[in-house]
Amino acid sequence: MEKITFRLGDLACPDCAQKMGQILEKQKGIYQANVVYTTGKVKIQYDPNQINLQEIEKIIAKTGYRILEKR
Amino acid sequence: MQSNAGRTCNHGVGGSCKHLAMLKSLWRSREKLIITSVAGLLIVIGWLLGRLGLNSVLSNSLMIVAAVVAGYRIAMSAFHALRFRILGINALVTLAAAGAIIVGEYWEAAVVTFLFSLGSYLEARTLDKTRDALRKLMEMAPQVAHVRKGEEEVDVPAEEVRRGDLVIVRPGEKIPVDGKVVKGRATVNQAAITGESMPAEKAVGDSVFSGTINEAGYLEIETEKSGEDTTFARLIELVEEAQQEKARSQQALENFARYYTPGIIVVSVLTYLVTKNPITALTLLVIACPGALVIATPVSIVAGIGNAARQGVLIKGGEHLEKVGQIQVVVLDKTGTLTRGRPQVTGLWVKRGTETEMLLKTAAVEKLSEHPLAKSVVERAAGKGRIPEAADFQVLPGYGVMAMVAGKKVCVGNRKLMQEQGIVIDSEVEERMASEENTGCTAIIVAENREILGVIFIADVPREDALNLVSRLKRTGVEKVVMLTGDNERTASAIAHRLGIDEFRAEMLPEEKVAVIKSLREKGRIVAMVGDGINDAPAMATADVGIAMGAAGTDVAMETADLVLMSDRLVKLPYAIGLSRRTLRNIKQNVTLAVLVVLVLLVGVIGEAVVLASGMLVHEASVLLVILNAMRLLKYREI
Repeated sequence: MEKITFRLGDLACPDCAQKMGQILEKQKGIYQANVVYTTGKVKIQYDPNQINLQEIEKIIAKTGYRILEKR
Repeated sequence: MQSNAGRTCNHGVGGSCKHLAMLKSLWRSREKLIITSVAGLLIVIGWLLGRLGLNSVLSNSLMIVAAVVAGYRIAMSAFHALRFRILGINALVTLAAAGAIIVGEYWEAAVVTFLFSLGSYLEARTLDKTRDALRKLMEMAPQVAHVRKGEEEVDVPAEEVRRGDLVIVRPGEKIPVDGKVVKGRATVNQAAITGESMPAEKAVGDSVFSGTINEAGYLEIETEKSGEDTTFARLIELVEEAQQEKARSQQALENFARYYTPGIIVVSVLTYLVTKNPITALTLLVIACPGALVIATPVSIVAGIGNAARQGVLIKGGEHLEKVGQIQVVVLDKTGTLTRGRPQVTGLWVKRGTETEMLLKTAAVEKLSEHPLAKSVVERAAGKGRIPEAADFQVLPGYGVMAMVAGKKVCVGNRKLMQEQGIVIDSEVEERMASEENTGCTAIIVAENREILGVIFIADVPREDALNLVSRLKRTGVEKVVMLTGDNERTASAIAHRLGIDEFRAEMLPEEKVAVIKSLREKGRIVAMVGDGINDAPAMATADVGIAMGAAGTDVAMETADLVLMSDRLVKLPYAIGLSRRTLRNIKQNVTLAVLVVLVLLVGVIGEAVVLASGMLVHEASVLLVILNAMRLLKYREI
């Protein structure tokens, strides 16, 4: 299992941000997606054998958030 | 995506490609703003055309284009969310806009999408400001460490430094690891950790923290912790976790929101069936997302926690914040909390010779000792004159110390040492000692060549900021301040009286402290226990709120307390309680406003006074108002 943290731009209404977390968590291979509203981050625990980083980034982009930084 | 852009460049269009890349990056960073501005412009032109009565078809088309421009992103987000069976505000707005176009209300559709787009842009911007407080703190995280390998110096990423590595820090540089100073001396600004603007002096043996700044001086540090284990990294981690634990009121609101949105859709459909008025039904959809209500609590908490973090105060989350804001009784441990836990010379009684002579001779001997009491004497003698050299130093554990000073044998210690050395303590000396000892002082006798020179009294004195602590706490609304101590009754009484403490309990064993807190809680009081987080851990766990002081560097304290003061300055205590109360009040204001707005909108819609565009305007304005109100918390300082 791997961990990745994205710092996001345009994290506006917390309701919507939580929904992005919910969407991520419904993906196969993602165990946990915590939207950290205070610092504008989403922390993800995933299995790289089931889902790769590009796919995760694509979902985040599709739900309307910009990725400013990842680590 | 980026590699694709690079590839087209290689195909040789050259200059224009560069512009394209620039435009692309501008687009990415300003997307929302550009979309909103374009839609706004289209609406203005369309409105002017319509107003002049020139061409209503053109005017209406412009409105539709504006609605599509502003609504495209919203619709896409809604679509993606719906694919995962999540119904959000984006879907509602899309539905409302599409409905408005279908029934021929083009202007309404354009304005609704425009206002929503503008609103979310402004929200994102203002929220970014709220987060800045925390972001600035995080940017303090050091990147590179100069590690010394023999004679060489190698630059290593800060998280890869290993325990035991020697790290060099020059003036102006950030300290990259937690560790102990092994060489050098420096003035270090610890604001990132403790929130203290006054720099601290660091010398060999002192602990330093990652994220603090070497303002002047040179340091070599032996690494104890690096990367994610440092106090600084833990602090940031805990701040981030703080928001995940939601306040009770917030959970209630989120549950409410979960049923509110689908509920409104049902109501909207029913409204249409009953009134046959599509506009009223669509307006209900627009105001269906209780935006201000959902954001009311978290935005205040973010601002409150952000302000606190900059001051070196860690509030563990919404629920803790609620409790801190309700504290009625503050219980403090005396030693190490109200007092420095570091003895100081409080008085001197001279029998023969002068005070200065006695101090210097004592310091000459004590300088060679490592006993905590010895340090206080040396400190007191500093600046009084030259401390003479001592020879033949001897320690008798539990008795005292002796050495030869200027050819004479100086003994410094307790009664047992004097007896052992055959030095007579007369009744005058005994009387002086007894009276001071009754107030909780430790008395040490100084003798030279078997003759007593005098007595030095040493005690643990209150911290400077303890003196007005009680009145400051009362100003924040705390009703009672209680002091607990293991010391004897007289010492406790003297200190409690001096500090204006309401109630004190002396000669307490640790388990008795727990009982005191339990009994206070049984009386229905909200009790906070302030301690160092280690010795007082059981008492802190028993209290409603456990407050750890001086927690920098002690992981246990940081993890277990509800409220953590990284520095050991007592002034942070009234600040933290005051801020929590202010945050609670801010949340109440926000929730009240949000509920009022929802009610007004509902009544307005039913009375047909509010239609699509005006409904959206009020909705977005209320969200912004709530954010702006929360931002006032960023400016809070102790009153």
